[in-house]
Amino acid sequence: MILFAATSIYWDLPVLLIAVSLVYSATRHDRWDRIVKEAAGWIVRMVGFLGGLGVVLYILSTYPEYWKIIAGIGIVGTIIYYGYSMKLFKKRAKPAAPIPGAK
Amino acid sequence: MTVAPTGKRKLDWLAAFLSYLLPGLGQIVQGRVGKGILYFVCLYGLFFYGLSMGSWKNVWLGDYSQQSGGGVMGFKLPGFTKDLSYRKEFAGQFWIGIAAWPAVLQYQTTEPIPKSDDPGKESWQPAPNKLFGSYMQVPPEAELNKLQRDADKRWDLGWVFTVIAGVLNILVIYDALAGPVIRDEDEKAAAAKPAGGAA
Repeated sequence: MILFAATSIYWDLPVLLIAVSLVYSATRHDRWDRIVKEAAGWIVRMVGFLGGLGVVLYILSTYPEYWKIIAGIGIVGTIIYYGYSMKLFKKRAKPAAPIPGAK
Repeated sequence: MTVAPTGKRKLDWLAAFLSYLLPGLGQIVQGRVGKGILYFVCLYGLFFYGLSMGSWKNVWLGDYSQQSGGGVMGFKLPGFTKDLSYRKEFAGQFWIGIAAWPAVLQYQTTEPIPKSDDPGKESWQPAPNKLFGSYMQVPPEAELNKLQRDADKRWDLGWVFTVIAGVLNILVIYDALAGPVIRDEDEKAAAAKPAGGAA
């Protein structure tokens, strides 16, 4: 286990995640606060996605007999997560009522 | 909030070319020094980290002119494009700029790879370049097989890193050419615009 932790290729992934997030965010903004904020958002999203996928695959390989339930939970969880992150479930704001007497 | 760009962007072709040569150089020339350094550190870091993961043997372009195959979707490709079809990764790695030029030089100076049915192919060893030696030169097939077998997947992950670094530099080149996607002045203009879209 220790040997696996020491030699695993997963230790190389943070370099990729940080570099990709920072460079992509810097091509979208010029202000440093926005670059850092967007890069942090991308890191969280990518780690969440890859980590979630890893957890689902680990549970599937540990309990293969429950694959239908695990796959169902995974699919529903993904839909809910991306639905919220893409603001699909939020109520759209109604347009403001016109001010009486205004043109 | 995404703001649609207003007004025409002035294109800076010189900065774009400089950013191709060295990631971030165009931004530094434009006065965006911090951003230029960020691009340089991130992209060169990613590229050379990937190169080292692949034992410095995962960026190259070989001369496959003697091979009978090669092509895309059944179409045979001529010359350089045929070689690129054998080593598609280089199409992404090339965009890192000067750092990938040794591979282009090696491609120009290294002899063609022997045919698949050539009995000497197993023992084929390209002559090292006088300037770069075997750096970014097409490795012999036996060495490639050994790297892929013994490198614990890091050789493969390494070339992925180098390709991503090259492709990301295309975004950096565009940033030098036309500026960031969301500009401060666009947001100011959008904020100053009266509600309802009246100009």
